[in-house]
Amino acid sequence: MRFCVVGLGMTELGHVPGKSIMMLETEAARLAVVDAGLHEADIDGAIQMKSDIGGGIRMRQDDAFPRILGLPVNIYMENVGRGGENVAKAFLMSMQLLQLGICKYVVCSGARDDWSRSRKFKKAGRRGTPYIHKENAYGAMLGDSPPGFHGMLATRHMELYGTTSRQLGHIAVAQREWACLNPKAFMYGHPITIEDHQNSPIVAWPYHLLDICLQSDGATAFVVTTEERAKDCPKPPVYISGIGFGEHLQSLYWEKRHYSELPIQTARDAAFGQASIGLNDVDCAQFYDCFTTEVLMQIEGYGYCKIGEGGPLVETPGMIGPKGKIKFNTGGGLLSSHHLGNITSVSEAVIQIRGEGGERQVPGAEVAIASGHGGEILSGQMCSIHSSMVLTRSAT
Amino acid sequence: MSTFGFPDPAINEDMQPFYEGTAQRRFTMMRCKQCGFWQWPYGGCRKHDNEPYLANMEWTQASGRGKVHSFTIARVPFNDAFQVPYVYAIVETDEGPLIPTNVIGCAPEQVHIGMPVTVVFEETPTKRVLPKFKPA
Repeated sequence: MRFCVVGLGMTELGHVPGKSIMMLETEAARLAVVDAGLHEADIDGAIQMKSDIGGGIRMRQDDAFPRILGLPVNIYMENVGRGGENVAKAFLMSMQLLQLGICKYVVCSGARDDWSRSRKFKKAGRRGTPYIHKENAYGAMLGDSPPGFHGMLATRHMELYGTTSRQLGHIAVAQREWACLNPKAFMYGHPITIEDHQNSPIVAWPYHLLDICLQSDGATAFVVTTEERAKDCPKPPVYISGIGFGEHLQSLYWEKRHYSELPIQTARDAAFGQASIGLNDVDCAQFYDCFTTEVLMQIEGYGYCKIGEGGPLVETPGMIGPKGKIKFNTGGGLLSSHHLGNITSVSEAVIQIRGEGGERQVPGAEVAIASGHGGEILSGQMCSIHSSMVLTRSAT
Repeated sequence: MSTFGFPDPAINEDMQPFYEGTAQRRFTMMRCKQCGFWQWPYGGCRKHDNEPYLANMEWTQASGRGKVHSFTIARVPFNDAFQVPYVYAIVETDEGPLIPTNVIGCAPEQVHIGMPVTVVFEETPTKRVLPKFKPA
């Protein structure tokens, strides 16, 4: 049995003040249902992809988007996902619901209000990011911050392999070039150079401001159904051909490579194996890119080069960016388009496989990979999971 | 004066003994009674079948020595309870486990990966004692 994404709904993304998380995910779900050529009455399953960043958990039992929109669902799951792998888990559950015949059409919706929330915090004297208060022994009381703990990966990679901040800057510049081809990207029309990257303020050394992702408001939803039913939908079906996961939790806290590699291998092997593809078949990669080093580690981990050789690769002319050999984060990614976790990477993969990329379309894209995070960053419940999905134009 | 106050961690039953130790200026980690396998924070032995509720692991005083495994230097305050710049680091203890901490007692620019460090105890504004590390 094969499963396809048949609907994609994206609200306005970026700075969208005055909309609640629930209203955002309701609107995205509505747009996805319309995109799939369906009516609200057709949807019998709904999954809410967790909207909080990192380890934070916001109680969500007060209301739900299926009720607001009037979806006659017989199952609603909420808070699916943990940190950056939400869509992979939501699709996994959708496929099970379809396989068992529990549902015919499942809508998966996820929203964030990180930008609006961070403004509220800023007014109260706190900078930057919505507050994550971890329990027990982790970073809050040590003054941690997302660039502060993710930056550990960069420092470590630099020490082991001689990677430089300038090399990381090439990733930021390449993704900005892609964003400048995507009118919906937040940084559309704002190109940057390596010098801009190097001159941007240091937030948490070694990370400059331009190593760090955006914070966004907005929502995106997907409709998933079976291959059979997908044939009746107006848009070309996007096959979910492979899903895999990797976990740093298997050996948390004392495995040193956790700070220089992501747990990609089992995720990639499972996803590529199910899809019967190799890296050469991949037309575009949508990597989880909360920070530049995560991209570098995925270029290495997926096998575009050996571990430790990503720095020299990304600074080689003609390797990355819209005119480069390796096409990744073609919409601009979290760094330059918008941040909805791995929802951003999956929506861009769907757009590319459908051929709806406009100026940024990778010609003839048949196979896309979309990943979720996987860095073990001092809090086991956060982003220690890496997810890998293979999305294809035809059944593989 | 911090708007948000010092972010004192919510401590559960499992980590309580660790902070009782630091309050007495003792740096402890969990150790397997059978083979001496060290864990931090709480966790089971990877070499033995664990007894109920990890009863074969006990909080044991450790050397308090280690070396910097990785670090970042905060330049922008994410919480105004903290004065920048400061070093947020992971220290690899001599016993093996990695622990998140601050490296204090030297200029942030002097910190480097592999730097030998030793534990030092610091009290937070909320009167909790945290293990931090300084150059050995």
